[in-house]
Amino acid sequence: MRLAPLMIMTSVAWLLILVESYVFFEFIVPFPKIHEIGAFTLLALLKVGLTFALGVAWFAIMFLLRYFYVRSRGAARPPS
Amino acid sequence: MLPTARDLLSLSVAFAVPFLIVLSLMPRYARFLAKRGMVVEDVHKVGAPKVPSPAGPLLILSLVVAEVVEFVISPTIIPLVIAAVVLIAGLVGLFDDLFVLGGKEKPLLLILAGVPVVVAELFNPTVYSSRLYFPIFGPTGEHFTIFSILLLASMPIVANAYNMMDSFNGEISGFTFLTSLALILGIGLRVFTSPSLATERLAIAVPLAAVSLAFYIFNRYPAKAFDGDSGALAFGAMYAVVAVTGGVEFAAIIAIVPAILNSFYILSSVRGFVERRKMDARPTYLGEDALLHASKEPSAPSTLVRMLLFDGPLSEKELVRQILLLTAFACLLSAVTSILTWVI
Repeated sequence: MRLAPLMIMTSVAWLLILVESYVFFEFIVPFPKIHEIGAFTLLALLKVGLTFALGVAWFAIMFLLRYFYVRSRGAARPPS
Repeated sequence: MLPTARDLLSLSVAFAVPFLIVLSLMPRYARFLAKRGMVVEDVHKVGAPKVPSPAGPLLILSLVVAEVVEFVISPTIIPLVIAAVVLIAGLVGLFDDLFVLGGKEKPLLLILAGVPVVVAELFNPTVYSSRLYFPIFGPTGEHFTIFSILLLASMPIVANAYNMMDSFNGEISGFTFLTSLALILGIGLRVFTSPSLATERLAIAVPLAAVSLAFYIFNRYPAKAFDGDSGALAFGAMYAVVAVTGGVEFAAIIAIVPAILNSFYILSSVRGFVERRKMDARPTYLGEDALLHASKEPSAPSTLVRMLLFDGPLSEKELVRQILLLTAFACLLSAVTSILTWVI
């Protein structure tokens, strides 16, 4: 059963990719173009910020999963 | 839509030609490399036996020949685009095999491998569709600029992810074979449920499975040949471009999640792009019991293999079996994604 935790991590990565990509293409991409100015500027900044947040969320969750995996094994913890 | 006799001929040729090239020429090519002293130590075995490397050029040749044959059978530009991508990525890898590229130069050069795809699409807008097909939800709108940037970025990401799965006997060949099957299933479901897409899209994916399967015979434990960076980068770049031209990016990403996680954990633990020969510590070591152990060095990169070995040492053969089982699981998730996208 040494593969079970890694299979769970793979499944979590799968679900996150599905959900985040859907959010990106359906909600963030249709925002106004980032070179438009005026009332849309705030939306444009929000577009960039949300995209960045999606990426950060994926990496953070994957990073946390590895942290808990390594800690549960009581092994030498890699620098992070 | 069921495949026609012509489709079946095209698919059979796409498999048989590269498979037979690798199967018949690899023993001679490995002897040629050994005679010229082009061998590397297999450091995960007692006594570190010498193994001919790089077998990449023969793998690249067989992939390119297969795509040219496909072009002759079904004259569309796509097989030639794929051949160009494989050649560029393979040449970058060969340069790395012979002269060693830096940790940052290699990803930058690999972006070039995606250029023929974008250029071909600009002149002939049938090479790829710049929209993503989501499971259940269907396709997004067309986003050519974003899609093309992602395409260029995917080349170094996927090719390096493949390269980082190339550490043990049979690992890269088995990994490539399994993931290419997931790719073929995804494209197959798309082609046979959508009359707008021709079978050629499926045939261009088949050589990757054929070459990796034939190479597995020589690369499995105990290895008779190593592919080198040239082979791994060519495999990775071809996987990426076939996924894009086949329109199954989603399923393709899912199948290689173990490789993506492996790369991410390595890059985050060594803090950036570091050439593997320059890393401070190795992730694993060969114990006196001839088994592979996880390194206790805090500075060792957190590879998937090191994480697997935290539960105790394993033989190289068993370790690769575990990695391929994890890959098969990811391919299963990929198959579910394909079914949700194209069938339901």
